[in-house]
Amino acid sequence: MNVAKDDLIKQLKEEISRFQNSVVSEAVGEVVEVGDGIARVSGLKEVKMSEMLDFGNGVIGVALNLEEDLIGAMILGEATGIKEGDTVKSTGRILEVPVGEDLIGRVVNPLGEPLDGDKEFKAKSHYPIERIASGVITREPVTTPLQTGLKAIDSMIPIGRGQRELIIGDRQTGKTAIALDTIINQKGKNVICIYVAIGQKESKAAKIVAELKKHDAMKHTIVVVAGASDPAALSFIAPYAGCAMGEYFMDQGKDVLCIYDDLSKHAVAYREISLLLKRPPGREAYPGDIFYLHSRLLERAAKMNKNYGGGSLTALPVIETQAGDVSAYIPTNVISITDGQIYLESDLFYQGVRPALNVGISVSRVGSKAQVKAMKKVAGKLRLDLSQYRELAAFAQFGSDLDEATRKQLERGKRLVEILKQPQYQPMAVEHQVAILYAATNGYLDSVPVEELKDWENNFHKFLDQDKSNLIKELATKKELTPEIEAGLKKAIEEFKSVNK
Amino acid sequence: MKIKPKIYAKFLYEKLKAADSREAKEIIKAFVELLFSHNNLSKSNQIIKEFEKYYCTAEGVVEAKISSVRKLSSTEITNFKKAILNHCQNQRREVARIDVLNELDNAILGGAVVEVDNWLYDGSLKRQLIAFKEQIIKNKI
Repeated sequence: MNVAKDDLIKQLKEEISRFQNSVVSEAVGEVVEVGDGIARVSGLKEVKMSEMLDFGNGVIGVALNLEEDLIGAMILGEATGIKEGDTVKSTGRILEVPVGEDLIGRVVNPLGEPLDGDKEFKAKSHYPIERIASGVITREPVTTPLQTGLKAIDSMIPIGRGQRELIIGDRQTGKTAIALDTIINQKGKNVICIYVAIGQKESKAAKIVAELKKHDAMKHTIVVVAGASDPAALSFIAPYAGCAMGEYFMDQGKDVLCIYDDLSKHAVAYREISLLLKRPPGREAYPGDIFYLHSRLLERAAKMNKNYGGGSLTALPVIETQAGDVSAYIPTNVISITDGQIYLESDLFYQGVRPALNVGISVSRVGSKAQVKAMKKVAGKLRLDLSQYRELAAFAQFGSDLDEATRKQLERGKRLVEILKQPQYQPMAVEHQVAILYAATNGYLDSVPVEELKDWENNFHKFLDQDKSNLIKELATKKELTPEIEAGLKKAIEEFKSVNK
Repeated sequence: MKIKPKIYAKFLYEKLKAADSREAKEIIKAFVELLFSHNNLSKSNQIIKEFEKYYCTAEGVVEAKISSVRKLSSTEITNFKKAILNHCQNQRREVARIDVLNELDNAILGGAVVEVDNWLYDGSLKRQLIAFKEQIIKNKI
């Protein structure tokens, strides 16, 4: 022991003399009914909406229904120890989660408790999980791009910092893959990523964490997991908790990317809670406020102006459709809330087009303003060429006699589709994307056989990195296709083609 | 129409208010028959609870539970009653009578815990020791 005994006793005596003997008074209620993660509590007349309730033994709940005599509360955590007649205390606090830099690199549950078995962290502060979204005065238009590293998205459906872009598609179409690639691509770009797994299998969540670690992406990522075996209440609060963790960094002027995977399961969890609380069901048995459930969450994505720190929170919600039905209740709701959608199709996925992006109905409503100039220049042509290709390809199936122009258009289209394919976990820097898309849209690849394009592209990028590093660096810093850079790029492509014949 | 236990309790109280013991017996019998005809006998426990609550509020009866390690003396109970009266006045509750139930609970270690009308006054030694522990941790002795 480093401290002397007498010193310790002196301090202890001081503490005892300082100690105020007091009686604590608090409002208490009584559990009337408990089951399915929901408790009905009598008493507690003063309790406020969304206030935390203490059920004892470390179990907390949230008041959701304030009725004449009873309170309907969802229990966050193990409800098996709670029985009728138990005492419930109000805490006077709205549900909050720990926030701070210590959370980065950690896997936590929606209450901010670590799940990765690593040491406990000391939260700098706590943020309420429900917060009114930033107002008009505090915001500014989306102007900075958030690169996903995927050629198809960054070129045609660009995402800006502060935007809300929906990733929608059937099961097994690569929705999570896009989200993960985007996280991996944020390495070294000063963007803190928050991946919220809602109602997902623990095995899938573990796989995601392992992949992020493998690609060195956990250093800028927080993973919030509400597993499939966790109560619906945890799935319900998970995206709000993730958003609150992100808002802390946004308030400090940092850029944040929040991925909610997925909001269909979130809606299902909320439906479960609502029905158990005996709220009247509406369409597809969802409660009446299901639109507000998602709108208040996604509205919290924002790009703040300089007076308010200049931070941003970009939201990438994910929705899983059933057999491609985008006109179901939840998909239409979230489509209307977000600033665009990335639509993934199973047919394309099985044809080998990965990411299985349907360019025709995928849109980004605000991101094009944020796109880098160089990309804007090459992407304009790309969209047009691809849409013409799709139209012609549909007709070309019926006849073999095609004129030269049509045949050329089809060949170009095939190459563009091939170039936009990209393997998972291999996000590409924007300067490389510009270079390859420039080559594709300007006809430099027309002479390369489609089946050799993959190798051609890989070698081309290697060539650019090794032999034309100055050009690539200039393109990366200027982010613009100036006449000099364009000439350099043309020269590089021709040079590579002559060597690679 | 669905009738809540609270409404039944209120109805029963209003009927029994002016009745003598013979009338009360008949009213209660009729009330049980009414519950049976409404198919609401299963709610009887809730109705009894609500009736107790309503009765206490209407008659100004305050029921308090005092937990202590040893049995309280009559002087101590009188002092507690004074404090409870004070609490009720703060809560703007009319008081005609205070019923005190003294329960023995060794878990609180010492002092007393008073439960009255959804309020809990915790003056137990157990809570104070916990608070003292927290203070020591906070001040990092």
